Amino acid sequence: MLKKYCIKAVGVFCLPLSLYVLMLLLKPHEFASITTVGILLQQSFIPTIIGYGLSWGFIVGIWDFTVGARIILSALIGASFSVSFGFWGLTVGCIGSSLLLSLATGGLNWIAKIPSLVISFGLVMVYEILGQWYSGSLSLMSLAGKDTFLGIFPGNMFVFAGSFVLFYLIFNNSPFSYHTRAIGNNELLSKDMGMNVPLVKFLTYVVGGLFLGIASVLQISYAGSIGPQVNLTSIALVFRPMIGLIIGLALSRICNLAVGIYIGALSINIIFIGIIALGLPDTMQNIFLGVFLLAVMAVSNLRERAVVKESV
Amino acid sequence: MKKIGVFLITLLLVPALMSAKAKTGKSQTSASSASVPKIGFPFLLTSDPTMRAIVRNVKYECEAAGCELVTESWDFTPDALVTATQKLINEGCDGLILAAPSISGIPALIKICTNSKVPFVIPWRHIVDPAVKKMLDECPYFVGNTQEDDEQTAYNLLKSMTQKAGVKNVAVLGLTKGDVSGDMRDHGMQRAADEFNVKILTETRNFSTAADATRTVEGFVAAYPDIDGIFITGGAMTQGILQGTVKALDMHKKQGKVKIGMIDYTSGMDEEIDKGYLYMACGGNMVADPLFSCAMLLNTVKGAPLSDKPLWLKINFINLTSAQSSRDYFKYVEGDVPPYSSDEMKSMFFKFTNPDVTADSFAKVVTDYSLENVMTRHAAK
Repeated sequence: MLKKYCIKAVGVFCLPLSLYVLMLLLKPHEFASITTVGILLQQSFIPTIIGYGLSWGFIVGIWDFTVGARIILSALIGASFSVSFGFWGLTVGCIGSSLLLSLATGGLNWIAKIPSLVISFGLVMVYEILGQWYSGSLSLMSLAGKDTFLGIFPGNMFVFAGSFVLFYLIFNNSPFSYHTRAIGNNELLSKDMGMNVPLVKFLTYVVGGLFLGIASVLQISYAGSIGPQVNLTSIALVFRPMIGLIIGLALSRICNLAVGIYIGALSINIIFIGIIALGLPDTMQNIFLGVFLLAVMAVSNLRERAVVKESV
Repeated sequence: MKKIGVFLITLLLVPALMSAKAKTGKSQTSASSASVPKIGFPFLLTSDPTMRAIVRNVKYECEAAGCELVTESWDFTPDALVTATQKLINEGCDGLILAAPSISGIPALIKICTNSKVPFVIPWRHIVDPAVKKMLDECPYFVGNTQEDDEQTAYNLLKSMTQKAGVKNVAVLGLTKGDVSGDMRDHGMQRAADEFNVKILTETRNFSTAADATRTVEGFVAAYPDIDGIFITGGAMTQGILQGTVKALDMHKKQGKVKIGMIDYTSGMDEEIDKGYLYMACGGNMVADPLFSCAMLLNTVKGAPLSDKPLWLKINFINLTSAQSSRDYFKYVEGDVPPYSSDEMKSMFFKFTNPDVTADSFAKVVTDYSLENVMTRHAAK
């Protein structure tokens, strides 16, 4: 049992470890440092928590590009609350507004019954304009230094640990999660079995919104400030977490999704910082990312086919 | 139920479409009279204080000249500028301020303005292509260009960073490739790096948020423990880029160990200079440049052109190295009081209000522009 567990653990961490070793061989001076390892681990927290927020919707087939706009708008609201109410204003403002936005987004998706992709693009524009309107004459909302402690170690680690535990518990133990997986596998069958598919899809927004609220607290605490985004630029915020989520889903056969998403985010981070260390232009980041994602998906697909073949 | 849903979506999207500052955003006019000349100004309308100061001052200048400013939002791509230009011409603009993001888009703008017989100016851009420069010189509707020497400024900044601040290993937070000013600044920076043996460790571009800058600079710290300088080639393009950069350096206790050099100003510079992170910021042209371009255009539109040939004018960057000078800049140039009052504009800019104004006298006003010049005229008031 222990042997099996160890083999699984090795398999899970094989991906980021092998990437790290590769970068270590290429750039030993830069990567053989506790500071670098610390940065790699910590920079993966926010994309992981966003990935948690995206996961349920992704599983049921929802494409939600409003995530970035919602995080930014929540952070703006939280920042404004922090002026009067300090840290608790920030936290309640971010999480509360994220939940409200999630309710609105999920509700609209439920009522409208049109593809989520269409609605999400429309809502991105709405949320971006709301963010610009809310920030008013201020182009940048900053936090007081004392309120940003969650953006650095060990605050960010505790928040991440809490998010990890929360996601693990909800994803592995709640009927809601089981329903999302059932719908993700076969929506028609799930409907025939009596599941309230629209309600479950609505709840993916709400539950995901809780994690997005946590991510917005971390996001603004990390940078110390945030400004509104327009012209659909907030969509870019969702890509890295989404890729981390996809990698996590690919790894879900050998590890829990909560771990898998973090592994995915960490792997991407190693690639990005490795590209910086190699002195390559940042455009190469996207190329390597795309290639890496294709490789992971191809390996995962091959393994799945092998399993199916064996069972036949 | 479906109809209710569609109705709700329409209700949500209509205000967004009407108020959104998107590619085909709504034009904004500064005055409602249909009889006054209109000046069209496609511009990236954001909530950034510098961008707002630019529009505010150009609007003030147009009103001082008895004209109306019509703005049109665009997303800083050549195609969007062409669309915005055509839209403004269709709205009856008598003159245009066109900040072309790249040289390649200029021939199209020349054609549109020539066909429509609308005079135009190009601010902020150094026209490096001789063929395009010739086209502009030969275009009867091109009034003039105001530019800064981005290349030399970037060279001087990095030279100062290495000779006076001892910077030897620099990472770059750059502008998008293809942006004329950005490319010239990259070139000047590289020239200085080659001449003074400064190592350019890496460069990253395309930031949307302060957090992107924080993440990237943390990446620099992780990848290059010896880093001692950060060169920001466009401090105004991303809100919070300076603050995000400093946050990352603060997290890794790099105060005093890493110096930042920045071209283009952004809010909060004085704090970062005080902390010892921001070594020098070069800018001050963002507000003044379109003011001078617009002045040339207004003279032409009002029937009193400064010259029968296009004017090519150079504006000096203002170098800020102290927190007080930074505060002074934001008070006297980008503050509520414009850098040139209405009376000053009428006496120094507009030939139609002061016949003594000539191309040479106006060129001298442009050359004399500096923070000290503005403070001398306004500090006592």
